[in-house]
Amino acid sequence: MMNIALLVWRQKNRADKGRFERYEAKDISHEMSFLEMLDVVNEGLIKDGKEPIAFDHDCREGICGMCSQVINGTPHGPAERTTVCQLHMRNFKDGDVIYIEPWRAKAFPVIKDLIVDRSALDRIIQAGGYISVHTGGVPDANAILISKPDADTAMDAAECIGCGACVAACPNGSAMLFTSAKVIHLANLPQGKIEAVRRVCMMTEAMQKEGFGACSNHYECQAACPKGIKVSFISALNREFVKAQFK
Amino acid sequence: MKFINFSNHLVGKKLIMAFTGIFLFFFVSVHLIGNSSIFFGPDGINAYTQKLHSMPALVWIFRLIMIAFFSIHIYFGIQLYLENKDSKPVPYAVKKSLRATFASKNMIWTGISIAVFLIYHLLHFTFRVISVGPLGVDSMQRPDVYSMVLAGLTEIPSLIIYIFGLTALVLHLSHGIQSLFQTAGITTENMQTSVIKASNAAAVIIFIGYLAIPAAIIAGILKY
Repeated sequence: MMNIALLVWRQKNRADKGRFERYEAKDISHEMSFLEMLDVVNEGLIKDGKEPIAFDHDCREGICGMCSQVINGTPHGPAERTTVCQLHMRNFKDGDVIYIEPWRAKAFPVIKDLIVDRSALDRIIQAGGYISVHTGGVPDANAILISKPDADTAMDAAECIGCGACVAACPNGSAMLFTSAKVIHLANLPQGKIEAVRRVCMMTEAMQKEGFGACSNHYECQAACPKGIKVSFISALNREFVKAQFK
Repeated sequence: MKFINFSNHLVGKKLIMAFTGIFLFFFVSVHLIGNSSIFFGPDGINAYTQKLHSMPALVWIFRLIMIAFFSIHIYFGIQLYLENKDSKPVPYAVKKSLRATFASKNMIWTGISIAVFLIYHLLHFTFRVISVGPLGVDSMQRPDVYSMVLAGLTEIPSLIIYIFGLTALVLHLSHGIQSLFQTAGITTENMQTSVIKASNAAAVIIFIGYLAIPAAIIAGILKY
């Protein structure tokens, strides 16, 4: 069991200026996840008649991409390739002071406390993160052959859960890692190649329109990504973009 | 198929930075090779200068291209800096750098430092309005650049500014070179570590190369 102090960003709504508030989390078990620790703190707040800390969460098994907290200056906290829900309190020790902040980026306005609006990422997908196919009967498996390396690259890129940690970590608030993962996922598959030129242009343009910054190659995103999406996808997106200029 | 306005697109702008950056790196390298002729004494660098002065058209074409590329690089560099800053309006109370380096985070400042140094450098050695007097001629009636450099780089203030300029350059290049490979889409996953190492090595070689000139003067290897 341990006692820790939390400095949590509290903000009533988009218009509110927001501030840090200090909470004491007492008798926290090492086995708890970070979100369970916050649940305990919130129960205390509710008991005291106070507004609980609002934070995003859903599956709590590291695959949905909902949790979004910057913990002591690192998106998703100190454990590598781990979402906040899979981050356990054994990563902390008794007496620690933990800062919890929402994702910070112009394209991610704070809705309340630690919850930000990430629909800008959805609009990047809407701009081209899909393939146009006629619906109908299920096609035969392996009717279109895909080489193992291409399938692997596409799968590695498809691991992105769209949590936005890359944007949160990027000093420029750029969504290049997210966008490149989606572009390269589809560009490696025969079904996706058909619209590759249009896709890379439309998605990067949508990203710019949403107010995300450009990539300065700091590579903070890769280090923060809970799914280990690599910056080589950004290079590959740039390659797709250059190719698109000659088509 | 044209989907975008290249110079107003955030990847397009980065490609413009990378393309002009290659040229500027090329210039810094050629300038170093040319200047290294100083190690052959007055017969080296004075002859090199005379050769350049005998081709004014070529020199001027080169200078105009340089001015254009420098201006474009600075214009888009500042624009990207401002836009990127605007994309992150609220800073974190606590922020850990996971991979970003001092060089990568200060490209705008090292860039501006290089620009300021460049102006000083031109006023110092090209227009000669700071400290060094009019260019003399050596015993063979060639412009005496050798004596000018010796005089110019032995003054302490000039030497300090020279080292300041070089420090900004080594930082800017160490991130800039690897960055252009990434932006141009050349870097693959397997290449990444090598590209970063090669980029740092190239920047350090340029730094040592330029530093060797004042070092040789101070050490007395190059003398009147």
